[in-house]
Amino acid sequence: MIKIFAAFTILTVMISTVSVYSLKQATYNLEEKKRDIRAKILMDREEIKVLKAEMSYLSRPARLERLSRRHLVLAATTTDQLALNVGSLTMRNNIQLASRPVDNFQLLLPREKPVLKGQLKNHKNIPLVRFIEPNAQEKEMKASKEGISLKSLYVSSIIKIGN
Amino acid sequence: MKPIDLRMEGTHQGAIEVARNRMIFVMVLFTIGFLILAVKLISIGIFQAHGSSYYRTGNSDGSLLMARADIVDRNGVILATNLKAPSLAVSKRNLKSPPEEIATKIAAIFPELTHGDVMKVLRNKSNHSWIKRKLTPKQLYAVKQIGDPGLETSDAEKRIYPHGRLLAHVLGTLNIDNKPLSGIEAYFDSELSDPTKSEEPIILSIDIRLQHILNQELSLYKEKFLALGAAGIILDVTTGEVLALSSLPDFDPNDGKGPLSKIEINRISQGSYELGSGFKTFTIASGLDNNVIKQVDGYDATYPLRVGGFTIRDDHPKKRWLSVPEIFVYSSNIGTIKIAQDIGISSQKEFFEKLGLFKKTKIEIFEKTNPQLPKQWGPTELATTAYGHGIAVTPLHLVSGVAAMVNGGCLTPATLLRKDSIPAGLLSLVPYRAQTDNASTQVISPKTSEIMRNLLHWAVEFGTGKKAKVEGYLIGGKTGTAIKPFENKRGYDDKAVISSFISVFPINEPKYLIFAMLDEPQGIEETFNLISAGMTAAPLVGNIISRVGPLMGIGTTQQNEVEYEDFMLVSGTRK
Repeated sequence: MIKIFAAFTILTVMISTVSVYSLKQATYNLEEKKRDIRAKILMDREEIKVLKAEMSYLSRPARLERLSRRHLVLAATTTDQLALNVGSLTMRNNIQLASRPVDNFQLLLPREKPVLKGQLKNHKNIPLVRFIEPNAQEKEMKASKEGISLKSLYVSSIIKIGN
Repeated sequence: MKPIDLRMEGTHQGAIEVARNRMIFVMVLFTIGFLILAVKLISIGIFQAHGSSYYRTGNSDGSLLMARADIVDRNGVILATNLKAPSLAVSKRNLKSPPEEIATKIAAIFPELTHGDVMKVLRNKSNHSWIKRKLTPKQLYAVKQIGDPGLETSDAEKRIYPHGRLLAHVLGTLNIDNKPLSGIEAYFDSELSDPTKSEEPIILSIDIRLQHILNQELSLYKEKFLALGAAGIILDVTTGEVLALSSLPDFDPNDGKGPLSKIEINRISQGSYELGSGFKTFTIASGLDNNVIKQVDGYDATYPLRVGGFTIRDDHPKKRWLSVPEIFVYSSNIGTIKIAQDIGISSQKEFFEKLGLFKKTKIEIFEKTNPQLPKQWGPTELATTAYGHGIAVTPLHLVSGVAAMVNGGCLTPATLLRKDSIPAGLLSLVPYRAQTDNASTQVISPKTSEIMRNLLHWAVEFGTGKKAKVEGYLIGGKTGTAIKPFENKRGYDDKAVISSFISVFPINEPKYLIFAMLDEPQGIEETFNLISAGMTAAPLVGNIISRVGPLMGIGTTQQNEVEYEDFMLVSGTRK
């Protein structure tokens, strides 16, 4: 009886020792990993600091101004583009476009191939693109002034541009 | 089967006994040994903690420890930061490759070092010697690529100012040993170098975009008028925050040298000047607030005035009676002196003192000077100080005072820190904010402030500041052309002036105060060789406003409505 008890005790002690030790080892490994990660974080933070400084250096207002002047068609806002509130805006009925927007490039739209008229008798010869004659703009404007057409020049020119 | 019990007798028995005893002895020893091991194992497993981990330049919560905290602008743009900048040394004992090869490689990395320079370092007798201080990250990487154990780097940091000269006077700089020399760096040195706060940046009230605009326009006009220097400030009149502060010529803080000569000082807070007509704002406000004058009062400005042996003339003489608004709008010295004489010496002095013109400003940099005040206050001093001569203050004094004139009468000290973000630790360093919210003092009544706003607006609309007009904005402003005293302080040099323009916009709801001054502008053809502030500083401020307004989203007003036009006899009044 005593022998069994003694054996059991020894076994328990051994198992618990081993398990505690392995737990300890696992914790130690985790600690080690944590330490590595922390070191990595510190290195990353250092790098982030450098990058932030670089970012600040590269976004110096003088540099941005130079770059935007060179690469963008945008300019700084001027006072005449501002309004105190929506009510003080003019109604956009008679707005004339001074020029086409700069980013509106002329695209080559698909068209029907030119065919000899005799060849395809049943073919409905409808062009895919509707043209507005150059003086249509003026016509529309006159019409809108007289109040015949509700469609403003702004809207029509937007249609023409294709936005 | 029963084991046979064998028993020896005689000499054999003795030998066996000895052997058994020895075996038992050894077994006991082994048992004790294993027991000790078991106990030790258990005690290691349970009781003993791991040795503390070693952290590289970080503290236990994983934050990065740097020697100095960052400084950022009000939008979080980094203005000053510390980066690792190790120094490169060579330890000859550990050097593996031949020195010639090392020297070639190093000289290729650093353009400022020649092969000969490096060889000189490698050949000298001491084992450990420095090659280069403060490497950039790229250079460090390249050095590590060489991979020689003899090349050693030491941990060191360098203060970096990404925006360079742009904010030199505000930020100040550090010398090569990282000791602060001037500016915010010096004022908040203990805060910035506190290791527990190295990750809490100091947030300034500066807006880097406005700073750029101010700086660019100032340098443009400095070049245009060949001025000795130029300075400007943009202030939020409601809070007293400085949004931009520039003084030219400036210096590059990355060089590790502060302002070198007298002309590189911070003209806004350190240079004291007789600022001229800007002071008429104070004189007239004082008169109105003390109920000495009313808007409808008039003074005779027909003839030059003799005060204490000097004859004082008007720069823009009208040679007639002028109403109070006209005195301000046409910047009449004679009229202002007569107002000051009505106010009296003691009231005038008291008013100036209330505006804080007699002591240093409270801005958070050390580069400040005391105003130069008249030694005694007699009738002559009363007359000259009324229009801004005989009293030299820093532009910051004038700016804070004028801000109080327009914002409803509250004098708020100018500050370089963003107001909503001052950490508790900084409060002790910011004296006026240690008190409660009422750090600002009421100096004039809101009613007087409203009249002053109108007067300032008229000065731009009809008076000397016409060139500052910007389409769409209601602007108020006052020109100031002050002749400079000679170096020996005897008399004044008519050719050398300080032209300044102080403006507030939108004047119907004051938000920004913009001040610009040019030190000794030279006449050019475009301005018909005139160097008065209306020709030099006013268009400069106009340009700044036209850029700052849209950027800060200040809405325009459809038309400039002018009230009380009847008070003035103006030619060319609209409508």
